[in-house]
Amino acid sequence: MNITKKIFVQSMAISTAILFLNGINAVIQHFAGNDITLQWYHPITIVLTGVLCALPTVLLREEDQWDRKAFWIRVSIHCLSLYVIVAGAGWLFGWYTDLNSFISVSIIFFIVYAFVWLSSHWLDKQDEKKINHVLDAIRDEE
Amino acid sequence: MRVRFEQVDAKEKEQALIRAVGKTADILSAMDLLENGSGGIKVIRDRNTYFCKLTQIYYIESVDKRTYIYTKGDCYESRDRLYELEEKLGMYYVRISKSMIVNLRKIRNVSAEPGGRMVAVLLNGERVIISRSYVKDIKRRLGIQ
Repeated sequence: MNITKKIFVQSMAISTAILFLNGINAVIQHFAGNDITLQWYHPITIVLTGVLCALPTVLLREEDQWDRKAFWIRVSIHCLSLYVIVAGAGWLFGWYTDLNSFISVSIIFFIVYAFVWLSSHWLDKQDEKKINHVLDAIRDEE
Repeated sequence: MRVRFEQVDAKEKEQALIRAVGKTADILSAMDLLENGSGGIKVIRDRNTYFCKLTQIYYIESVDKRTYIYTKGDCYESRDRLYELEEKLGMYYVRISKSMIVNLRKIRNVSAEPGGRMVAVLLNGERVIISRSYVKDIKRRLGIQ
């Protein structure tokens, strides 16, 4: 997948994820007795944030040579870049009502980031098991 | 023995089923031919040309537009480019990165790394990296959904 297509797909995925989380939050708040009202510009700022968050994906593009330390440095920079974008967009677009909502968004951001990595790795581990199982049946004897 | 041919529309769907009383020498050589292709490729080492059986190849790597063939303990060079060899090799040879093809039958095990890559440990102990974008191809080749 080329980088433009990847950024586009990620933009859509991130925007959808932010809308989904906001949707869940709105449902929870509603049943807790606090209805949330979106401003007219909120949906478009969510999409815009999705596009901005997709840009640091170039940091995670595959290199021909792989180095574990360099990889984790790039992941850390990627995570911090996303956080700066989300926190900055929230401040710029007026998503936060007070300091507590900013802290909540920050905590949720790092939880979601870790969850995405862990769930991806878990799926990769499932693939690893399936591949090893099939390889057992075809492996040459040495 | 009766032989029946049935056409399919994709390489991944190709398979041969041999119904026989036992694994005779003829059947074993037919299985070898079907699984590993027409036998081997011409390789070069120290200006001498050799014939390398496909079953001996562990992996093939392209470095600076030169193609190297690795067996259990030796390294040869081929005049063919990687994409040309890809056409000649059997079904167990699969691209694992832009510059490498591996013989799946020589992989001891694979392990998933963070970021979607996999590390394949070969039967001779060597480790090769499977790029994230080629994991799908390997799964498809192995018939994993």
